[in-house]
Amino acid sequence: MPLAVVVEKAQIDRPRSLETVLKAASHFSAPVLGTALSILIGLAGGAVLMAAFGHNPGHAYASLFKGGFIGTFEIASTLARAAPILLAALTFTIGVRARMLNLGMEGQAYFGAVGAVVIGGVLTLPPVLHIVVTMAVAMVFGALWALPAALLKVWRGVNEILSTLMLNYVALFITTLITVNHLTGPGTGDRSVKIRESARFSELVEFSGLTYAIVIAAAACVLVYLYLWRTKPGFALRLTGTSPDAARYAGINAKRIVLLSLIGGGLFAGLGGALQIIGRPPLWVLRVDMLNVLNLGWNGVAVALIGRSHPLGVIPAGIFFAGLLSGAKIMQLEAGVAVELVSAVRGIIVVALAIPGIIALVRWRFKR
Amino acid sequence: MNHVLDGKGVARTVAIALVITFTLAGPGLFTAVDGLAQSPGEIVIVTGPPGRGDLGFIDLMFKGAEEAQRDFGFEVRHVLADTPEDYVPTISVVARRLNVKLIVGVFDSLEPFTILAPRFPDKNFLLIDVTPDRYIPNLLGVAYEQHKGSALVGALAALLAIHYDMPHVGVVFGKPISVLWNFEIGYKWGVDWAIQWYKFHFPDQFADEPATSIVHTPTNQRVLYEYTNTWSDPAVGDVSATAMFGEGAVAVYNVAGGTGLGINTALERIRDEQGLEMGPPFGIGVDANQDWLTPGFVITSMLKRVDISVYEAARLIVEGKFKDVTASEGSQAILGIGTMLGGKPVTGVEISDLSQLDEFIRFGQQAEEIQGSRILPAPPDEIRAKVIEMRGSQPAWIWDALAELKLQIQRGEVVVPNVWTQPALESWRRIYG
Repeated sequence: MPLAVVVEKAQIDRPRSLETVLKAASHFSAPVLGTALSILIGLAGGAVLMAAFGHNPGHAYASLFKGGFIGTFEIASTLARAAPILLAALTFTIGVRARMLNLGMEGQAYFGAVGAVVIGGVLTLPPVLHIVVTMAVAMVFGALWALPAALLKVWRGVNEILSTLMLNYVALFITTLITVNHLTGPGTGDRSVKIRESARFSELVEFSGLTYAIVIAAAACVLVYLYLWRTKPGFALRLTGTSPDAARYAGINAKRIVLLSLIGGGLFAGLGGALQIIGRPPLWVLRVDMLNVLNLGWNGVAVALIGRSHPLGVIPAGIFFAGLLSGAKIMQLEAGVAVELVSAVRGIIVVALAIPGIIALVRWRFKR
Repeated sequence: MNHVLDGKGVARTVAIALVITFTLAGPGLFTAVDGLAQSPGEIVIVTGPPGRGDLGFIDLMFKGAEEAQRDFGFEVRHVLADTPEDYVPTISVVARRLNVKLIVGVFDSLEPFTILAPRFPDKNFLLIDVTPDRYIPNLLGVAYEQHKGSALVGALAALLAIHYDMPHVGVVFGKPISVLWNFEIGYKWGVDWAIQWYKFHFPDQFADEPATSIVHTPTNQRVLYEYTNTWSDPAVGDVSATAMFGEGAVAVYNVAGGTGLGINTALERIRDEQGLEMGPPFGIGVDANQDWLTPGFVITSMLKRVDISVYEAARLIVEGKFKDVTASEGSQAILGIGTMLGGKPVTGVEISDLSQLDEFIRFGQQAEEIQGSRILPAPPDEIRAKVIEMRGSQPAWIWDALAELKLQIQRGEVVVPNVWTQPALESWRRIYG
């Protein structure tokens, strides 16, 4: 490359004035500011609720954040809770980026968990390979369950919100049926066989449930980001999401994007379901009624909305969300706030945080 | 995406939010961790979602803990584990707390308690309705003699069938797990005992019983039963119970948790359709006292006194005897009719009578407060009057027979089959159907 071209290119890439720098800064700070504002509103709402029930909100919040984020064990258990949720959030994120409201992560996570038990609990494989194959198969299971909704959309134009949502219930019954009839061990009618040792992540901080699953989950977020922002198919997916008409004129096959976003999304929900079983010591079993994975997908939607449906945004959002889950225990114990009230306060904070994401989503999806 | 962030609105919102948060939360932020030392200790109850408000097991644990709070000054805390994976981290947080004296859990806590109890030797762990497979000095598991309680209500149901000349008694089960087999055979055995008792004490009447009476029903057809495969679907329970009442069951026993509450909806419909004031037909409650749910139509309830177990465990801690009792029981206590714990009689199962009615009407009122919806079907006085009238309308010999069976069980004069395995279940089903 001639030197002149390199210099010219560098000049183009470099911010040319203070104005550009400020613009870029506000581009990143606006969501952060918005989120901070949402947190404040959420905290205020929760404080009003707790004060109404005669609790001291200051004490309660102190224990909530202490329990979620202060201390090795607290941080470890927060990260442990976050890992599977990040992956479910990623599923929603990928969908949104392609203008698909995929709500099927719940059922896809059930299938991922079942896939994990099939490989991790039933097959015998050498240690590292076993974990890898278990995760891979779980991802395929998740993706396969995304297939019906994706095909219905491509072939018959069936609204994916409805199909993915409804298929979650179908998934619950199918996975329960499979688990009850084929995956339970002797004397364990209500739970699957245990995951074999070779397919388990080992615990990093005793009793916290923290494993390298969090690294896998965060790496998946980064990979999805790189794919969407640094590759051609990723660009096509995002272009379809932001300006479907432009994408069509650019010759992008919309049906391919539907398949890519739904099925690709399913991979991560499946992995999330699997990590809930093989990545969270020390029980290593799946309940036949999917109790372990229940609500994983919905928590993922909340996290994706808090993270503004951005694959990197879901990382802090997921950790914050999981911190609220961990901190809730301390709030119950230390501040004596009733479990039901804790859930309500957590709900207010989460909803407040998700509102900007919801507004953006509604504007985006339904604008003509 | 950033339209929400424009203009003065933001500043105003921030200001309002800050003011609210700090006015309410400010003082507490700086006085957060004092005020702990006065309490004699905490009882922490660990449950999965949804927690309180089941009118059964979970609420009974709280009832016992709150009575321990009243009498011994314990503080009661509830902590929720969101998923099965969540139990170990959650309970380890609980066990780390200085002031925690007793941690109580049900079936889902079995493995977590077994893992954690040895690591927190100065904390006491109590498992309800399940026992660990080995002795752990600070972990006490309590199992209940539900087969004996079921035998009592089975006998009562059969005696009612004799009195009202009806051919069957019924029972609705949840999922086919071994503890329910224990209920099933106990119930069927009780039915048989009652018919033998009647034959022995009233030989003349026995010979003259009309054709529809249960005494003429073949032994293997007396009990109508169904495993519904669910714990939480009252509609399924309703269908099942309605069919049994239709076939001539005088009473249907609930061994299906929330599903079994469908027996009550079935009874209410029959009551309204036929304009009945009271049964027959009857329902039989389970775990907690459910006599007040459909007043006049629930003849009794087979109580698992989970509340008493929690209360007694708290008492043992106050007296410094928890670990002694755990050692003498080998971590596996069995509570039932006329059983002892730590040298003191502690009831595990019993069938309800009027003595607990008020206690459990209050229990229902409390659940109303928690759930914020109406649970009591009528004012407490009306419920009480109705239940007393219903019980008084049954002949005295039925209650005499029941007292006799209770005594026989207590003295070991009869042995109620204690069935836990498939082969045992099948061999008893060959006799009782």
